[in-house]
Amino acid sequence: MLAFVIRRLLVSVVVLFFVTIIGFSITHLLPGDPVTSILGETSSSEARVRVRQELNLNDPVVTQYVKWVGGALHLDFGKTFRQGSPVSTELRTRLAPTLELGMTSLVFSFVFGLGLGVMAAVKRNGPMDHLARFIGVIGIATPHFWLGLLLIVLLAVKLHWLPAFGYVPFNENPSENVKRMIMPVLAISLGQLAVLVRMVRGTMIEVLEEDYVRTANAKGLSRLLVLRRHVLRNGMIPVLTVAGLQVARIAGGAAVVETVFAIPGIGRLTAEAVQGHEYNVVQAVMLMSGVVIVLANLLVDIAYGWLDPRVSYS
Amino acid sequence: MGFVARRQVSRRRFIVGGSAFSAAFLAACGGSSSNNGNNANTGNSKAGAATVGGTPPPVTQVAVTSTPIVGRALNRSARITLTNGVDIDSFDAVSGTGGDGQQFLWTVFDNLVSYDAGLRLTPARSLAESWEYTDPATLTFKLRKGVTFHDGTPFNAQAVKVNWQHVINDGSRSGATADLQAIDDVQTPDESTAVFKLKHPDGGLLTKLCDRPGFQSSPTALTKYGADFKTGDYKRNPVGTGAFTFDGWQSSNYIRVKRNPNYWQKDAPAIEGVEWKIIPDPNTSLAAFQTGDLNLLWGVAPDRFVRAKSFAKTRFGQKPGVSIGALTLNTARPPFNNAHASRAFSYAIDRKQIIDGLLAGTARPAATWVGPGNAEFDPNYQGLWFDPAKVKAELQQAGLPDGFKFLIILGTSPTDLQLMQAVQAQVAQFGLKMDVQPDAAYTAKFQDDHLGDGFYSAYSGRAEPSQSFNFKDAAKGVYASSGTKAIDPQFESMLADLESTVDFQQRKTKLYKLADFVSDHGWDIFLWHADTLAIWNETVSLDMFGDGKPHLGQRDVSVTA
Repeated sequence: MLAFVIRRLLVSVVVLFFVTIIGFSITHLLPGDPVTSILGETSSSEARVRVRQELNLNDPVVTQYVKWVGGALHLDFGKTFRQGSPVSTELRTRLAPTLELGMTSLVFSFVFGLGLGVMAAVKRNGPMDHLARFIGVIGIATPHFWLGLLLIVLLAVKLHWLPAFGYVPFNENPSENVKRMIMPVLAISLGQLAVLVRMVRGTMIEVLEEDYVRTANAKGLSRLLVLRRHVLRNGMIPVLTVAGLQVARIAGGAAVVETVFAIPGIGRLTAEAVQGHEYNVVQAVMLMSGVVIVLANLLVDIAYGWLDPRVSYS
Repeated sequence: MGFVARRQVSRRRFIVGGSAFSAAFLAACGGSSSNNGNNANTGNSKAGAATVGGTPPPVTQVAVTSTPIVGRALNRSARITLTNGVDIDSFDAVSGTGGDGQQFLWTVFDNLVSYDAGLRLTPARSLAESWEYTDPATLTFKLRKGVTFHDGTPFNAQAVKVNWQHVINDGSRSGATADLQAIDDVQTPDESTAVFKLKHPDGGLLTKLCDRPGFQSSPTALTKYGADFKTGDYKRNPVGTGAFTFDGWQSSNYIRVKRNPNYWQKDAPAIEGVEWKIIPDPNTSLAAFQTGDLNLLWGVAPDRFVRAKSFAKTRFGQKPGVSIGALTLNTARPPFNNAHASRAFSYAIDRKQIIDGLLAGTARPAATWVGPGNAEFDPNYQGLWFDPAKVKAELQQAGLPDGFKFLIILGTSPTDLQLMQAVQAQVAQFGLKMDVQPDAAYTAKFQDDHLGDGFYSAYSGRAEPSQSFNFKDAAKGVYASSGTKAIDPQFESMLADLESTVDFQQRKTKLYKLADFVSDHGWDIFLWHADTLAIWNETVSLDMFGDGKPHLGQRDVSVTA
């Protein structure tokens, strides 16, 4: 197991190296000019040339890349162009809302997706199955931003149950934090929940029809035991794969949901950085996202072995 | 030019605050509630210009006064909560560039010179009690006594000099440097007198000082935190003399200011503080207003403004401003180096149809860079507005009777694209084949790569209109210097003459002669001046200024119980 983890970590370094190259290339291919973003559209060509030199944007792209990677290895991602603040500080201050939003959404969609999917498979064609299929279709078909706006209109404007926007740290005001997190979590989770429900339902139905399940039932084992020991455990492997991919989907969805709900998180920082051509911020976020996704996939791979002893790490 | 200017100035020496200069502004502009009070025909109206579809609609305004509602007591502990779509780029007025920044700056800072809602210079709002051109190259300010910055530093002549140096200092990376290029030196004969020695007269200088170049920062704070754009920290620690002190900022979340108990204006401000919530999505902003999380919503889009009409306990403000939707043409190459071609293009656009159809009637046809919010605005001035007969005549004169093909580039805003598609459809009936191409970097590509034969943008305009002619059309402007705008010595001479003229009426006459010149040469296509639209809670009272920006400092806003 240890050798497997070390080998995967080494491969991850290579993956992250390519992430930095792709991230760097994409940011530099973005249409627009960071200097125009800094100085405004009314700036003169002379002023733009001067600022370009100040920010070392005239250096060859390879030189810029090497400088950036050198800094990133020391967790120095440079400074933002417009405000001159360290990118690492920006990331640190924006991390908490996104972590809270992402983790809550992941847990919410996993717990409810799993529960609803299992119930739909067991009570096939029953009311729960219809509900699961309905959520499966609606959830996948509804964009995050639209669902977010609908929730705001319904729960904030019409019913006055929840505040329409914003973020309050949990340690400052726990109840206000929870109130302001409900709608963003729902908006970001529904899509993930739908994917999981469909996946769990489909996998469970397949496993329920396997010979070993029929055998277990024939042996007289309780329904719950059969489900827990034989169905759920075997059906979880593809579900786990999807759950790993959900991390990336939630990270992407955060950019939209944080913008709709005005949450000052990493997703919104990314959206603002792309619009403002903040190369250093976009590159740092891409690298950070790469690390998170690589680690999530590593954890999923390790979990495969725990769920299915046939999986070998050799 | 210098001789002419000297004569003009020496004859019309003035002290603002009871001066001829101020009186000229007042006479020209009428009441504060409407800049269209200026009905004097300056004789600049273009003879024979078409009026079909081009008569500006009457200005309608609702609730644009800071006078509290009669019969209700002021709630001095109230806060104004509003939203801004983007975060501020710098709290240092000088190094910031965003057009959204002033609304914050006007709460924490005061300007050496300030204007009122009609964009008329007024000492009552300024840190200078009076100002006087003692000769064409000397502008003397008498400063308000007993004013201190929020950190206790006294405001005096030396502070004015330090702030001038801050603007012209290369390290501040200021976009305002060019605005003060006429100043050679600032002398400080005593604590309350600052003397600007000018390289040449600059008639627009006082109005320019009402914006970023004129904000007064604490010299102590500039030194303490460092004013250099790259290394200094003053841009995050603003210290002014304003009605409010800086109370905190969380990036992309909020900006807060609170009452300055030692403010130099008696009984001001009338509220406890202001909080800006940074909400990027306008739909969320509107919902937050409905839920009461915000009590002021500024810069509302026309469709949302119409939708908000059903809101209860809400007041609505609509104010003609200085912003302008315009097409800046590449006049250095075909087809628009031919004035008749660009004039045909302008005559082919039915502005009123687009304003009524796509902008909910909340704009008015534009004829030049001078907008209805400007003190110099002439409502009778006619532009090259929709006239099918003239399109055909101009095309004949251009030698292009069957029309021509060209490319207009623009940003990625869906609204702007919709507007340009409407223009595209209108001009197509005259054989003008207009291609439209959205591009996120359109202005940079227009300047640097000469992409497109013109670009569309909603330009924020300027309180001092000569600045617009300067940077849009002059040789030292961004387009001429990038090779996309024709340079004409006659225009340069006329602009220099305008810039050296101080008298208001003379400036206004010369401004509209410049407008004639630009129209005759077809350098820009002026489309519409969008009104500023805002909504606020019924307990809030505020002034809407002609510059289109929220003014929340001084006594500009109050809340009743």
